[in-house]
Amino acid sequence: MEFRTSQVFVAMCREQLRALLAAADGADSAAIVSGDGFEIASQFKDSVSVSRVAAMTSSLHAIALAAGSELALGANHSVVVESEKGTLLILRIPTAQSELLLTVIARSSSLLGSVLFAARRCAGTIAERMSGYG
Amino acid sequence: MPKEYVVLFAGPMGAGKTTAISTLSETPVVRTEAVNTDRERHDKASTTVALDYGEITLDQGDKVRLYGVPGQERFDFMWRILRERALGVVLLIDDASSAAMADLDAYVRAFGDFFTQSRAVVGITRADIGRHRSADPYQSRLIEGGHALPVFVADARDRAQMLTLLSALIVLFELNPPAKE
Repeated sequence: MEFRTSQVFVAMCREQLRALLAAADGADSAAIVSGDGFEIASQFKDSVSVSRVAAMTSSLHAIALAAGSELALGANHSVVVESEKGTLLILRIPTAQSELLLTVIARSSSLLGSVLFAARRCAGTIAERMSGYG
Repeated sequence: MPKEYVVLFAGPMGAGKTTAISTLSETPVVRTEAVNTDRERHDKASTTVALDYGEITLDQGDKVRLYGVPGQERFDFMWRILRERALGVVLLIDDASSAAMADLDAYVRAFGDFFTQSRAVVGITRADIGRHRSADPYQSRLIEGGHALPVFVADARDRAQMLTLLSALIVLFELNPPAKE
């Protein structure tokens, strides 16, 4: 099943990303990317190159998995990059069908907990909807 | 006194970078692979998205840290990160790819400092099913570009052949020590 080319799937992802950005105060941009770093759907501010962020999301997630595995930390829940002017958050979308990642960029004034909560809900909803795609 | 080196394995998708590091490393290789969704580009199940990492101790006691970089240009930010830490590069070129010669040119450009400072070697992989089945055309191309560097036909699964590549690079390090910063 090729989710990347399904317009219905991409539209559903966009809608969920919009809902996420509306729900999480301070979250500016979000995207769904494949495990190997291709953009599938995004709601990004114009100034950001989605394809670069998609590739970086894939690398950061993979390095976090490698470090977690090295230290026997078990399954990865999220990757958080907290910087002076903002936070980058990466979550795996919990589905067996395909390797998908959710990446969210939030301003430093946002509350990490509330962004994380909204992101988890978004990832869960997308996973649930995906089961409907076969 | 034993030395420590950092060496990169670079080259296009499917050239055998991850395999080469697995073949050489004495320690379990740190891999960062994701399911490959770009099957048009290369028909393989998984692809490296950040780095591979392995270690090997050579006969003289020198330790080499082996870093594999992702093959897709989209990950060139990883190339930049790793390039700054490395002393040299083993470039692997897939002889079975129709773009092999263009790949050689592109990677010589991307890792240009290593080539101009003569701290690079080239391994021609999959030559058994390849187009040229020889290192010669690649060697000529490098020389045309002003780089007289070792080029070998090498199987990424063959430890002895990979050690030959790596040893040739270490010899180049001895001949061309990096300028002190």
